[in-house]
Amino acid sequence: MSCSGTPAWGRSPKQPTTAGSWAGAPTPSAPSNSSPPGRVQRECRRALTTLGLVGLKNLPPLCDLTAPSWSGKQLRRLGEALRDGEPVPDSGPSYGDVMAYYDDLAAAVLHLIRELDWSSLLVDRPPPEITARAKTLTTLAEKLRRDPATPLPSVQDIAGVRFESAMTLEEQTIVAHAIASAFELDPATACHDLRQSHHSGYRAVHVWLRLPQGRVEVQVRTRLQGRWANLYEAMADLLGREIRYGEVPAEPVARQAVEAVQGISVNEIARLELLRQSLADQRNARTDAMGRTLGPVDPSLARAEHDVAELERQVVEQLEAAYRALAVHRH
Amino acid sequence: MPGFVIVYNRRTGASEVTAYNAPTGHRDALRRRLELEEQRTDADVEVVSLVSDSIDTIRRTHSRYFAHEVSRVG
Repeated sequence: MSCSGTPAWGRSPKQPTTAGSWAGAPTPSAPSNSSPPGRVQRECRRALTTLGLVGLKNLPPLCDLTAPSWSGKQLRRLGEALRDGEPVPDSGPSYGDVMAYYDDLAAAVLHLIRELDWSSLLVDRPPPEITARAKTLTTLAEKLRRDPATPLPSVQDIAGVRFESAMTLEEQTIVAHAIASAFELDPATACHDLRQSHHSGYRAVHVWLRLPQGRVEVQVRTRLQGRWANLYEAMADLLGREIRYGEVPAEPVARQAVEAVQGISVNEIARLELLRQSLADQRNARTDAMGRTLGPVDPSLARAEHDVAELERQVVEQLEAAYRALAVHRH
Repeated sequence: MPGFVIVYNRRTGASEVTAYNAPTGHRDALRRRLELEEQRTDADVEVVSLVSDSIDTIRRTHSRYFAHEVSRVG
């Protein structure tokens, strides 16, 4: 594998983010505007220009990774051994070798994504929070048992990266598309939008990177989606990880708690994010290409922004109350 | 890049965090995680190694691990 050169990271002047309604906006009753077709694609192209994203898969440290010394067949056998709790075959890689490789792969992808100038897209916000990990033994073995038709080489998230930021739904889409495009993948097939077709309440956009170096899953989440996901995982720690895969506890109180927390995500947070998007649309309709506000501040817009901030405070309070209830249950 | 090992008890929520701050700390963290996974006897205990520029970032992206935390430097 050869490197094509050093990165020319984008350092363009800040551009305003043009927000529009998210194409997958779910509830018809919620406020949303119709977005012109191709808007996200256009914004994604602009983001790619301002971020300086080009051919990341050919840049160090990703292209410096030594190709794995094992075959797909050997990796598959390792997966079968992990799944069945049997000894790892001597002829192939060890579990540690594979984890070390995917940990380096995740770290390399994190490094490349982190170095980009996200401030040109996510204007006036702190830098995104980005972390990476290689899947743990327990969760990997669970996944292989849960889905025996998917062999280890096809598991998408052995290497995982998490990207969180305060952003609107459209910005979240653009971030995901930009990441896919930066690694020269088609966003239409690489991006998996779990906001409308949520999984047990889990909402996010996942980018499936299928690189010459291996597969990596990038989870792109808004702050609230991330906070909710952590709460729900903590619930799953107590009530059983099956609640993350569509099952509900048989015990009525536990079932009610699970359904209530899922409701916070699919009703409260989803609605709040649509409202935020709508406000971003209105705000952006009143700015010029340089991000300057046109005309006087609209008092009704300022009032609506205040109301949405109050709604967000209430949602955060709901999440914190659920965390407190969980802590009481633990003790 | 720095790495962090978290030993987390799913049942109690207690966790122990060890930071590996060297430029290649994530590799040290992964090595330690593999050792701890090998020694693990309690199925409720999860051992994870995470890569990030700072523990503060991980506190936000993986907040469930930090309800009852003890920190160490590796």
